[in-house]
Amino acid sequence: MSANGPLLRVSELQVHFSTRDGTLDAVDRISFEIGANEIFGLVGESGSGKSVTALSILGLVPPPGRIVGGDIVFGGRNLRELPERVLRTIRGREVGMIFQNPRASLDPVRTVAVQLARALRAHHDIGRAEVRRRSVRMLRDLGMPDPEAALTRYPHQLSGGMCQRVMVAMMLSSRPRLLIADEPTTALDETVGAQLLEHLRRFKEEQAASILLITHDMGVIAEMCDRVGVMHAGHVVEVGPVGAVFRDPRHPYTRALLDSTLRIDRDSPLSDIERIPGVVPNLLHPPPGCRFADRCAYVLPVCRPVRPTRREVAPDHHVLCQETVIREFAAP
Amino acid sequence: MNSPLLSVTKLFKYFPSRGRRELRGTPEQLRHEGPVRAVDGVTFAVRAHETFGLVGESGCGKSTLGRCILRLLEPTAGTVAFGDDDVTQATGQRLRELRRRMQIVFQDAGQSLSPMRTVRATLAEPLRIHAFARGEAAERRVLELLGQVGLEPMHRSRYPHQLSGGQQQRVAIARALATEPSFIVLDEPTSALDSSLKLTVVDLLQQVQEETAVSYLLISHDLTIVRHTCDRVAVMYLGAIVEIGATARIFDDALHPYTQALIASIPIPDPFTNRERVLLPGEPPSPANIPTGCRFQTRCAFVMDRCRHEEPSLLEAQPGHRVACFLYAEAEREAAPA
Repeated sequence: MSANGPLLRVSELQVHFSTRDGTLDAVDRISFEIGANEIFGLVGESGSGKSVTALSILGLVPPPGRIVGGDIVFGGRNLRELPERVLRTIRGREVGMIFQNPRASLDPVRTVAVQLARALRAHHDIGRAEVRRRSVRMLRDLGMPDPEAALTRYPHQLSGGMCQRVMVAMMLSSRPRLLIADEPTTALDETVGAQLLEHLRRFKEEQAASILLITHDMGVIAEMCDRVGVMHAGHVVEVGPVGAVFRDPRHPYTRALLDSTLRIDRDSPLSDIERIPGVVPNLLHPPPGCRFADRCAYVLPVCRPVRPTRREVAPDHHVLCQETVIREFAAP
Repeated sequence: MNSPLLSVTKLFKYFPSRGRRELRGTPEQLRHEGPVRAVDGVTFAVRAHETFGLVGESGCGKSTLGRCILRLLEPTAGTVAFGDDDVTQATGQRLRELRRRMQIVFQDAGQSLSPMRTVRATLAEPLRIHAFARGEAAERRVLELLGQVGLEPMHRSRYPHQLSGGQQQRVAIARALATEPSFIVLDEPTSALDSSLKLTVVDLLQQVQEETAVSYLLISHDLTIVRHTCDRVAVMYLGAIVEIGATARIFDDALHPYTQALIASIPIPDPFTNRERVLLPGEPPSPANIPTGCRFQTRCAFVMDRCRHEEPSLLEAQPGHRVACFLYAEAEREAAPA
């Protein structure tokens, strides 16, 4: 395990879903890295392949989906080459995951106390009283109202925000090195979502862990992430430090996504907000070239037949686009 | 100033916390039974040709309020004046006529459209019920409505499952428009849609408003959409309006600590903005167990002794900007002539 290399390196990852109507090309040779103690965001519209990418890392792509190419190197080991038995110990212990719908990921027939105890005991050799003490403390730290009472409850008796707190407590007790959070605030109320983001930030700081944060919200990316990957139709079209990508987006899709985002702190009339034309292409029969070409304001004849290659436009800042487009795009 | 199209006065909706018995009595009489106080004395007005935003988190009573205004739910007490009518008292033909003029669009068109009906049947039904148009005229009206919401004549024969989410929402909007209402409740009309689709639905709603001068009550937890579409906004917390005013005032100069925290919790898509994080502790209490005094006192960073015993009323802090908070009541009392 190298101390300086990235914690996670995804390279040329390719995921297919075999359907009745043909092969769906959900994730097409994408690459990105997540450094140690870093929050990396994956952002894109629904159907862009963000969640499939996350599930691939854990080896949990549901059938009929399967990984058909690429490498997923975590802490120096290629997860694609490990047997399921080893993967299972990595999941939960070294790589944790929280989902959009927290209630669905808790056990409906066990109390919060039992589920938390199970998570704590799996990782710490402690007795009953200590388990209870730590459970209460963790829930209190996470802002759970009346944590003692919450321990006796079943998931259906808790609000979405409370379930998410239990999920996070279970996650934290296993102290993963990488936490994958898939739209963790989407199903929550705004003020509860803000609390959760604060806990994720604290988790990263206190445990020196990394987070892969999947969201469709550019605001969440801006407030949380160190680096970001922008996904469109199964491609990572741009990846780089958040500051650089927001200040100087080099892919037309990233620019369009930013220009079409409404801001709570601005009064700009709706007519000034850009609309991204068209829809994400059908990935059963993806176009051979750039998958954004039909929606792109800068499209050139070369874009449709030729798949763009990944180019470095600045240190640690990559774009999947034709060189000539990037140049024209960068010109004032 | 426009005279109000719709005036809601001291509206209450209590649900029994146990059992299914319908609650009868005044809110004061019912209070000791520990009901769920979903809407707890709400007063506001919507002007003609206005988009009025009603915001708040889940469980604050905003959807219940919207349904009580249309009498899809029977309010426990209060009045809803619409033109010369009191919606809460109307019956028979009168109520039917009111329902022609007041419509609703629900959040999830996939669920609010009948899966067994074609678009034509869905749009023709309100025309028939309200004797608005029949036969040839109804067919013409259906085509007109489809055009108005950006759908094609071929969509007439489609079933909901043959339409995309955005197209389904367009059909739901067309259905609400069918009988030329002057007021439409939009209950989270964009929440089930992707961000790029969201904007096209908002565009459509604005275009319809320009063409028909309809008023909207936009119920939404999406504050960003509200900021960019509404003329005025009311913020609800645990069944009551805590702040109400012009949209720009609410978003740029919020007075109530809850409104401030709510707005501060929306992430800004700009890594170079430095904003103070305001985090509310815990979760909102249950509407079956609303705190005494100010309903926000258990989570408020500025809570004072007075807030624990006395309920603040919605008072004007600036012209057209009202807030239910003692922080401002003091200032007003000093400013007011003795």
